[in-house]
Amino acid sequence: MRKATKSKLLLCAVAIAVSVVTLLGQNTLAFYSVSSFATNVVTSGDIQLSIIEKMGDQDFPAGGVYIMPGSVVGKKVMVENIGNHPFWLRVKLTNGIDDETLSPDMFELDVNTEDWLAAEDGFYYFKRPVVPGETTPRLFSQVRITGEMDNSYLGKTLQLTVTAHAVQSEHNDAATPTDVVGWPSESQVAE
Amino acid sequence: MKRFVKGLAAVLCAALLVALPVTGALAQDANVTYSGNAGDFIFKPGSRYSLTDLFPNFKDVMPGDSLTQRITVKNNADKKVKVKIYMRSIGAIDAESKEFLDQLMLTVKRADETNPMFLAEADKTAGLRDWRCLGLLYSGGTVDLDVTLDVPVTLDNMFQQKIGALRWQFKLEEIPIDDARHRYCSNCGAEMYRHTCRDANGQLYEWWECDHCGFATDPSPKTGDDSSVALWCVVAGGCVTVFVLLLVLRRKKEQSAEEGHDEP
Repeated sequence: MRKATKSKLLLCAVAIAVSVVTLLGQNTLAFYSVSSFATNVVTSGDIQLSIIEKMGDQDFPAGGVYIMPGSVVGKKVMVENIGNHPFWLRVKLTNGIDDETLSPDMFELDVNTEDWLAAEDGFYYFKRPVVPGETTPRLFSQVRITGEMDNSYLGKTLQLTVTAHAVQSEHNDAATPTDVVGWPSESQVAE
Repeated sequence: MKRFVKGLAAVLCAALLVALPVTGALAQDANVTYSGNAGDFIFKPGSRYSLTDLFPNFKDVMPGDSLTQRITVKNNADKKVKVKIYMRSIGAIDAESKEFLDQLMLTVKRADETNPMFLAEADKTAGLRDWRCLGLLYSGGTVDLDVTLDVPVTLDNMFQQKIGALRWQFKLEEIPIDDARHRYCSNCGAEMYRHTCRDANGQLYEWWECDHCGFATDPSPKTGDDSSVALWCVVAGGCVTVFVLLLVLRRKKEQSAEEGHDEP
């Protein structure tokens, strides 16, 4: 085949090939490609309480109070839910002088049995969950020192220690508060 | 007059307070929006922990919670393009996040599908390790993702007040649309398909239907043609190129022939 004819044929083939490639390429080329990151955050809640101890309108003295047999010590104990989630609540009272824990028989408390349940384990259980922002009704408002205390306790300082335990009430229903699951152990205390 | 103004102001303030939406306690949807022209994705609503946070419903979680987050991915780009959107999980951003998120189960699925794309501990990449295509979206088109977080009731006390951050990556490819051959649904953004039929007089009618939402245009007499202008332009351009090249070659040949005659 003559050289000139070969060149013409080659040119035609190249032109057609370029046309076809351009045509096919139209629908496969993307205009833009974009990529971005999103940082998504999960946070967990907690339950928080605050024990309120009052002597009249004042805060109960941190150092305790001087006592005599037969004394009546005015002390109001309430608990406030200062968190964002409701909880079941139980409270324990420990009375002592210096390092000595005194027998509960030496004291009489005017326990509010309408809202609190005295259990055999020594705890007082609030009968329903405490909602966020709520302060419970008083557990008791006074402590009377019975005659069981002899003269060796004269001039001593009485400490009334309140220990509170809380466990979430969401997904933790129970017929009575003593049946609630998840109470912390004695070592996990709030004073 | 003063009293009237004061009273009116009080009424307006009360009305404003009533009209203000209640937020915080209610579930909130999240959005991933592409606005087009190679702009970034826009992530909403964000939070005080991250501007791109898509988990507004997963805050302050407690043991026993099972929470759902709806994320809507939307293409707001120009109508001349459609986009293919992909996502993948990078995993927890640090060791502390990993420890916390490892306690929680996460499920991710398209709202219109049954099988999840991802079902594992929240710090894992699992089914989202590689890019997963969420869909092909025309302008205005959306795809919904449902994300579920399950918090075990046995979650330990040590995980109170914890923060876990999980990173996802989104990407897309813009693809131009040939308007003569494609249409998109103005109702849902999905691609529409052309239908034709002839009446008793032989007149051809055409209409477009969306298989996704059922929207359809009214049948109208078919006019014009469907041929691709681009195709014929390219062919014409190729022919012109060949013609010009052949012309140039012929001239060169004639010139060299003339030079050959001139030589003794």
